[in-house]
Amino acid sequence: MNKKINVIMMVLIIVVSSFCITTFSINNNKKCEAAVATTYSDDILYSETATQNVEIETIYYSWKDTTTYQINSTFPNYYNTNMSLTNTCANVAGANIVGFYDRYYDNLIPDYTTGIQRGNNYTYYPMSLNKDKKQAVINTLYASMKTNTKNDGTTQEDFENGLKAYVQSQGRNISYISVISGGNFNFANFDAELRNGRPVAFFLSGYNFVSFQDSGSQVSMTKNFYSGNHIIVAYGYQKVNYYNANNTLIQSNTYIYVSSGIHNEDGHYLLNSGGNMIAAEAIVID
Amino acid sequence: MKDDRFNELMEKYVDSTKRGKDTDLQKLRNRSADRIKVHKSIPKYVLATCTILLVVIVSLSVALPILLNKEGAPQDEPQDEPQDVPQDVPQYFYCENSQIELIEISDIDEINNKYNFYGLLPSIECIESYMFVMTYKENNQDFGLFIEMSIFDEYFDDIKLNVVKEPYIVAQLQKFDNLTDSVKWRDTTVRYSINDENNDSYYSYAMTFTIDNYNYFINFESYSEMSVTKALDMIYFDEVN
Repeated sequence: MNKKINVIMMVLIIVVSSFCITTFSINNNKKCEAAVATTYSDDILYSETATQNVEIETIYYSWKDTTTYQINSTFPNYYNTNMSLTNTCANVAGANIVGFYDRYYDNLIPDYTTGIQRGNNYTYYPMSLNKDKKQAVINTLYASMKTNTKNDGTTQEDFENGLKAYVQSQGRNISYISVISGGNFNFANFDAELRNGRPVAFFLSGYNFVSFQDSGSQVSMTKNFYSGNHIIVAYGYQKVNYYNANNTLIQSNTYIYVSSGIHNEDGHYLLNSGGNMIAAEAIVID
Repeated sequence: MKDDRFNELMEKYVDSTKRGKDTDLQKLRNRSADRIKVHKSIPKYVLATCTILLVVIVSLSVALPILLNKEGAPQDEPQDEPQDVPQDVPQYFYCENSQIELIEISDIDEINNKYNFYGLLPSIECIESYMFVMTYKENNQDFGLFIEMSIFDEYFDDIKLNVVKEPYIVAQLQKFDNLTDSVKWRDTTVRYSINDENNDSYYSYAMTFTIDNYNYFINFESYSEMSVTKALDMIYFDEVN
């Protein structure tokens, strides 16, 4: 009898131990997967390397109403000219923000004037004018943002920390104000930040740039869709509602005015047109 | 029961039977031997070790595949659909940013001498310019030229100019296909658009034309409203080659 009990006990020990270890392994693996997901969400790397798809869309309409706002008629639209640096979209976005605020805080880009007053408008200089001054900012941000040190590109956290380090080194302060609410882009908050004179950085996974020609009854849009992760800087928007002859709303589009960071991309970002907005935050330098 | 007492009882039993001591005690001897055999079969430490090993083996055989299996199901990669290209139509190369290598040029003379570009080059004077040649990585061919010129005079802020050899197509420049208005300039048809998108008298100009085997794409902003031909005459004030 004792022998039987011992054998039974042994078997039970084996079964229970195996079950416990297996269960622990499964749960641990799930935690790893969840951790990977969380890590990926936290550590999405923005690199601008992407594949592209071009789409043409035409909207026929009878009339439209438009709401437009922009911080300024122009905005810095730098791009990387140092071919030894790759995956620089975060660095370029940071440089565009620095270039914007350099108008108000002249030492943000040392020994550089960021633009020129043209009548009632202020025009920011393009990349080709005093290129080396702006490229120096991009180069510095490349290091301070730790680009390409973890993987290809830059995380949002490193973007923020790197930009902060640069701005503080120039004697200024910086803060970030999210315009995401409940996981969704909050247009009202975005609008409010723009009207406070603050550009907003978009952190995108899948993105687009749209150019369009409007004849007054027809809008022909060329949309460049990109996969991959990218950071752009928004400085305005145009909300358009298109109606037919029966005054029925056909389509509503919100075109965001952005600095793309890419030398041949000067289109608008079409909101809610594919891809994911991972984060969006106004950048305040004072 | 104590052994002495037990032995005494067995002796009395044997004496009471006629079979003899060997016969009567045989069973007892056999049973003792069996008992001894059982007691000698598996030492406790061996049993414990085997138990532990068995637990470990069973657990690993279940857990390891789970832990190591981190690869998801292979995803189908999008396959480019093969395109039927008629023999007499040039094959177009669609270039995305990732397919293009950019080589900076510091001297405009390099465009002709080094990179064999013989298209129309701008002659407008500028404060500074930035230029690079675009090379298609797949075949290492120099197919395009990008020039950004900072001018900031009465008519122009800065001008972006792309020149692309046929049959190459740069994806970011396909937006110029939407230009529908046209005008004749020096025997060349130029398609263009002039937009004042925000009604603030800051005009966006876009124009495209083809001369020989070169496609030209020009865009700039200006606070001046001017005709396309006037703008092009200022950009290319030298005679067309």
